[in-house]
Amino acid sequence: MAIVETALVGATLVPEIAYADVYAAGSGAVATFTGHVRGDASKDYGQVKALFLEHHPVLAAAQLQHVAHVAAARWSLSHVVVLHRIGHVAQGAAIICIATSAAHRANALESCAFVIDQCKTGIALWKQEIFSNGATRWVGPRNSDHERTAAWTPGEILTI
Amino acid sequence: MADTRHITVRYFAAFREAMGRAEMQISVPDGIGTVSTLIDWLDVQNPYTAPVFADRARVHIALNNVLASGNTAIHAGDVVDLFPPVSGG
Repeated sequence: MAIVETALVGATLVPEIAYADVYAAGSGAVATFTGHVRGDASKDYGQVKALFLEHHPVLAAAQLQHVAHVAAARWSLSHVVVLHRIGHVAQGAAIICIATSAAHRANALESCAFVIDQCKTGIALWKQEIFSNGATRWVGPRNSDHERTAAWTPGEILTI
Repeated sequence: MADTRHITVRYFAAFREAMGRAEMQISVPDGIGTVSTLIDWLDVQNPYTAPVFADRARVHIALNNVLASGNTAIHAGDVVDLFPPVSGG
């Protein structure tokens, strides 16, 4: 039975903690993914200085748990941790930390990729870019993200 | 006097900004039986809904904290959440 831990976190994420959580003697493979706030530039607004992550407290928490449980069952994981930031996140800081452990590398690596792809399209979270000139802009859905989640067989496990 | 039902409508992200509020309690007249008809009614009631409801395919719905659709029936005391497509990760 896998250990499944997920959280919506309003403070700085520390990827090493996610790694330490899933590491256990006997697990042959640990994979991690950390997503950070990019300092993208807009010709109209300047550089992205931060993101604001709004969330639906009930839906987002349940969906994050669901994604992690699906990954744990599908890839026979020993342990999976998914920590997703909410609130104000400065440029360069971590938005999401995923760590998975399994007996073999393919299961750890594939499950990690699966979780981040599902989180892009299936969790009730919304990103707002905050630019250096003070302007803000909500980030819309990207076709490339939906193509990636749909590419998993059986594909997207959540559609919103 | 027509029957009314009290319903809470919550808006998230870009919808919340466009509507200028995160939540409102409304009395819905009799005859509005689904989320779709509720949205139609809200669209008529409020001039700020235009950017929110212009593209109905972009309006996602939860009813009482469970994902729902336009065809979902609404009842007194329900909490209807309306939000744009998500962008997590």
